[in-house]
Amino acid sequence: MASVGARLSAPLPARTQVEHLIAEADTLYHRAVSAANGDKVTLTSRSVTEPQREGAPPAVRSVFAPHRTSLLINRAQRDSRMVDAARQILDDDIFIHQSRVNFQRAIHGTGFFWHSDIETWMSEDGLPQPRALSQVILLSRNRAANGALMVVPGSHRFWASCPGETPEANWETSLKAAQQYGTPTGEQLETLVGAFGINYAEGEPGDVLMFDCNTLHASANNLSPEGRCNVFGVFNAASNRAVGDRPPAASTFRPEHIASRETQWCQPSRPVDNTVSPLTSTPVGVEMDFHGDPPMLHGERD
Amino acid sequence: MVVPQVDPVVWPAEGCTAAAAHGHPLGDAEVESYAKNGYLMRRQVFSPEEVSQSAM
Repeated sequence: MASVGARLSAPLPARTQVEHLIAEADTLYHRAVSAANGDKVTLTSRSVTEPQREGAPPAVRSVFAPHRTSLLINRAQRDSRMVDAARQILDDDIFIHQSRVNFQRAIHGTGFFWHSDIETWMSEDGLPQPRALSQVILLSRNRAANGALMVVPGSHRFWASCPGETPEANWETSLKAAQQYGTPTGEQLETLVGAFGINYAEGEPGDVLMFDCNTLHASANNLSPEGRCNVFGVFNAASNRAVGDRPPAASTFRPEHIASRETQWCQPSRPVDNTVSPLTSTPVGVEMDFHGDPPMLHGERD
Repeated sequence: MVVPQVDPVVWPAEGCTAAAAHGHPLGDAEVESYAKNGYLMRRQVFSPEEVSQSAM
């Protein structure tokens, strides 16, 4: 791999913003592969590996908090077209509660069972209300065949109370294997899916999918020869920060790289105009490790 | 049990008043679609035509 110094001195290739994001995701993936530790989400790697089937090579499923380590992804997620859309829907300032890059590799990629995100965010992260949404930047083609997100349109208007108690450190396994807790019952799913049906969120690189924190969704295994990669950002209303000393349904909060609680990461996000200051202003793959929003850059506004 | 979600949800975004202060990238039809379906696919937010300065 070329050194950072070599990257800095080399002329940047002609790429679109999407291509730069794809390259950054690729860098994060390979960094996470080398840092991944066994089969759990780890604090050091900030990543989770795929459930490994016999004969399949190990792979990273998600890299968490890229907005804290990648200036490129930070700027993409704070793009004014993202931040302002979230503000418009939530009618509030926003901050990034969680971010991650999801990889669903060809042939072997595994999906996620039906769930609504807010169940976990309220019970394990302590968000007071369902006042959040996700925005997903598609970095590859998303098709039904390669595991595109399945959504149940209209399901966000209904609350499906999930049975069971959240076990200790549920996050260590729930983000990796088939989710056991915080999922609706079969009867609930039959009711909602039967009433509203399923839509596939299909799209092209550069498209952005927004969905409500209570929208029922899932993804199927990727059995196709086409991998899938998306950048997720959870935009929480500034008035909806986690509260209390512990979440309602767990003994401790999920770790900071999965759910933001630190004050400096819960400040209203400053939107940035990436058409003024292009995403290529930082060399791809340079780890920033900044704390809080990075310094004000050209193109940013309050 | 599946029940209509009434409380404490604040939905649909009441008036979207923040839009006036912060810009409003979503049009009325997009907001209505999001409010109805709970999701919205926005096409080419990051457009292939938006080439970096290094390509110019």
